[in-house]
Amino acid sequence: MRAEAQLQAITGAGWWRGLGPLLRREQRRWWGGKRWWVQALLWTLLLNGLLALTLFVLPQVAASDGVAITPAEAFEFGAQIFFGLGVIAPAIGAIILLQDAIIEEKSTGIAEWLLSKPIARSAYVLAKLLPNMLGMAVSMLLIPGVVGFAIFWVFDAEALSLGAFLASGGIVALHLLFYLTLSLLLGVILRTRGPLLGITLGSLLGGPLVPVAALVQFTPWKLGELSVLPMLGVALPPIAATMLVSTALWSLIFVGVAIWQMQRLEL
Amino acid sequence: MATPPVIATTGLSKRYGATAALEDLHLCVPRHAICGFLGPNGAGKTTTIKLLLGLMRPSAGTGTIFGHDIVRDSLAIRTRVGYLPQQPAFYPELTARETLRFTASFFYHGPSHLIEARIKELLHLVGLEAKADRAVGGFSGGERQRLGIAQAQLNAPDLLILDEPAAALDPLGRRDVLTIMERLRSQTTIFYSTHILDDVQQVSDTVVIMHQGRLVRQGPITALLHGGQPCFTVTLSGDSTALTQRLSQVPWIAQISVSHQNGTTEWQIAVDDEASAERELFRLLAQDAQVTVHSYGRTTVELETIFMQLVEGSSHAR
Repeated sequence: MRAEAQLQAITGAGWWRGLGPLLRREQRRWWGGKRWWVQALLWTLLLNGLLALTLFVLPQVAASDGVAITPAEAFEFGAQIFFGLGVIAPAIGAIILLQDAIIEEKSTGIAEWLLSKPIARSAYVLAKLLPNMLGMAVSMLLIPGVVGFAIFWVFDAEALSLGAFLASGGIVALHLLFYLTLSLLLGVILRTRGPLLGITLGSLLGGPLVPVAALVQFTPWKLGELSVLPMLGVALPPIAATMLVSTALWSLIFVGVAIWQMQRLEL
Repeated sequence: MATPPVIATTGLSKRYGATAALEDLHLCVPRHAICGFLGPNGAGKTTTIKLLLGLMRPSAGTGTIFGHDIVRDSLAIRTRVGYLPQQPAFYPELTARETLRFTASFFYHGPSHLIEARIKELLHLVGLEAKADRAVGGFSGGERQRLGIAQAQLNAPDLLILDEPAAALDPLGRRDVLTIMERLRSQTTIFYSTHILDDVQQVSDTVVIMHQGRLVRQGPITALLHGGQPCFTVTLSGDSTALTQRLSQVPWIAQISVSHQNGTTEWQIAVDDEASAERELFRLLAQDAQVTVHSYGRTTVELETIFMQLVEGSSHAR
């Protein structure tokens, strides 16, 4: 008897059809090769290297120049460097990693091939989002975050609060999610990388310079400034709630629109 | 009871602004047909294929495959269809075997040993066994095309849609593809677009001819090839005056066209009554002592000739 006659066929035609194999493939791309540890190493060295320099080397250099930096001041500088840069740098990483996830597959014909199989288009979008979300959370946030926490702890365990560190980290994670989902959406809509990079990097680097407070409160543009406040024991301003909720909502909207656009996409 | 068609479309159209890529297509592909989908570049072949597979959305009209709507039930359709794109693209870092395994994961749960057996069977079928564990990124166009054919058949589809399956293949590869198609005739319906008219004449039983986004002709290839007025070709030498006069009196002879070449004369004799012509024409020619008949036969029409006539006729009609 021919092999295909005894094979167990997959049935069902829901929004998840094809999600499992696509997820496994994208997960393998993150964890089966060097991607995860290269990212983890890059961000750990960058963020924690600067943090260590700020906490341990900067006070000594300043002292040799006759300027006294107290441990509390060094702690504050360190937090500003770690979370300030921690907002910007991983977001750039997310944009660069995700810019090609869908655009390249559309331009090479791989998306056409895949979507000629019984794969729901929503599954295709989610399979790009979820593994990248997990991969970036671990390699760009968790690993550098754990190392960062350890460095702060070594520097001044008493000044460090796990809750405050996690609250600041949560803001960084939300900011990263915004740019990850925006890149995903633009990848579905656009045909080339240029406009995607222009829009996302323009928002990331130019957004914080926008002076219109009424607009800024509904964006993630000031999350960089906010992220360090919990770590320093400063209460978040009332406007922070609007910023955080708006950013979370934007991320959800981007995913929803990406799925909706994907359903309409012609290959 | 007649078997319902595998592919049926009604007024299927695709427009981009004022430009019509496909207009008012009424297509009917019967079960177990090997249907050659012909047309010059820009005829709307790939657009039609993509509409059938749900890769594009129609601007107007409807279509069904196995009775399922091509827009609403695309997922159900794709479980029963195998598709080879015009330029097959796969993940370059995966090997041929991994590519087929990945493809299989969208159709089958397992058991894994049977999936592996199916993959092996297909690699053998397309002649890629020796390259099964090489990364696809290093494959030639022909090898990628073979892999494309293998992945299209992985789910043992009831309908195989192939967009230019032999385009990137050398003559041997082309022959192999035609052999595979012949072999699959009893198991599946094959709908394939091509520019290679010889291939169509060789394996297809049904043809659909498109031009500038419109359907020009569809039907069984035999009807297309013999659909015109029956005609006989005779080569002769000698004095044919009397013979010409005598034949002009025969009621079922519609027209005689004469051309001279290298001392012989070629006659194209168009007839209205094929049976009478088959029975009597050669006898009428042979009994004339003034002429010598060198060759005699039914005029064969090549698909290419018909195709050119139809496409050019369709252009002039606009």
